[in-house]
Amino acid sequence: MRSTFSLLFLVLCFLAHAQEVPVDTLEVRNKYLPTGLRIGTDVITIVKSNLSKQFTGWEVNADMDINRYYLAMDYGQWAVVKPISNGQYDNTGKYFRFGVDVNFLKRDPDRNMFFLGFRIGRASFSDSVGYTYTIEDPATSPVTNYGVINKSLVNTNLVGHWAELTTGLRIKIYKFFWMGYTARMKFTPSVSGEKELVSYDIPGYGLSSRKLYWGFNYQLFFKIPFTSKLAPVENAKK
Amino acid sequence: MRILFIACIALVALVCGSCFEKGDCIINNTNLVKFKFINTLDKTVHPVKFASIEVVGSSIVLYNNNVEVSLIALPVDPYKTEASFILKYADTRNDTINVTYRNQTTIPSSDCGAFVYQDQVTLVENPMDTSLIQGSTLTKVITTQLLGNAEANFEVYF
Repeated sequence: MRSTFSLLFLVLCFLAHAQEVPVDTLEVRNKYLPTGLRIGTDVITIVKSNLSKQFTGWEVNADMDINRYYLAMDYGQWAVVKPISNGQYDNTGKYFRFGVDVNFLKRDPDRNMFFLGFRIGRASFSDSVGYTYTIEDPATSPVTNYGVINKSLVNTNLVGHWAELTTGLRIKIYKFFWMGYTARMKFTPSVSGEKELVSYDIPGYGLSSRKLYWGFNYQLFFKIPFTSKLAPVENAKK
Repeated sequence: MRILFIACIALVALVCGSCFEKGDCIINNTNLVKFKFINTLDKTVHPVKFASIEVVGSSIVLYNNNVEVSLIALPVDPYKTEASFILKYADTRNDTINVTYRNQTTIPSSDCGAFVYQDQVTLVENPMDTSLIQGSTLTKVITTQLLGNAEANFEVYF
């Protein structure tokens, strides 16, 4: 009887102990769940827009982490008033880019980033040009040319596409505030919807005649956290 | 640390690369559509004597001094997309050439400015003539873009 009581007491003690969750266990969430949404803006575009008489625009950037991969999206507006040697070119439009960045700083506990990425860009815009032009051809005598040409041309509902390879840094500067840069190698621009005017400049891309173009953003971000729980980094396993 | 160094190098390369943005300013357009007359047998030039060539819808009259030419350059209007030319031969016969084309304005760079060029130049058959130009047997398209350095847009074989 005494041994049975002792055994029951032991089992009860064990069960009672089992009810208590160990307080020193670190709760780690699924590493593929996003930890937050980072929203920011390109400072260079804002400064350029304020200093230049030929450009007005802004751009917002956002990304969201899925482990070491980041879904990235940019949206912006862009308007150019560009004097050319024999007239003036204008355009105005909106653009967005979306793609993925891959973070190569796997073991950083703050999740600072050195990344490589890829983007697809799309712009919807309109443009126009007004110019005067005289055909200068040795074979053209005054009797055969049509004099000075004055043309005013407009394209509406243009759509531009391009692709980008990106690289850059994202550094946590204080709590939810981040800064970084993105360098872009843009390529394969195309424009549909052109009429007589061949588009000179694509919002978000730049000069359409350049099949390879460079871009650079200096960005400030605010991160909206989705959770206070820690997500694991690579060295947490070790 | 090594990754940050690579990132800095990549940044410098990109910034330096972006400096080379001067566009080429080679403008080689013309508003002249060129016809070259060729002898079918020996492929040499075939001179033709014109009394005049009139540009329909304008006051332009060309080749009106009865000289023999083996190449004619006829101006198209950059404001229109078609042009007609009346060829009056020295022997009093006439021909009409009709062409259609597309005007394109391009801006190579802000320093070069904008200019218009013509492409997709097409000869339109004249239903009144059995051949495009009387006596010719074949018209060969050389290039459909009007370029200053192009020797001819069409070769007409006699």
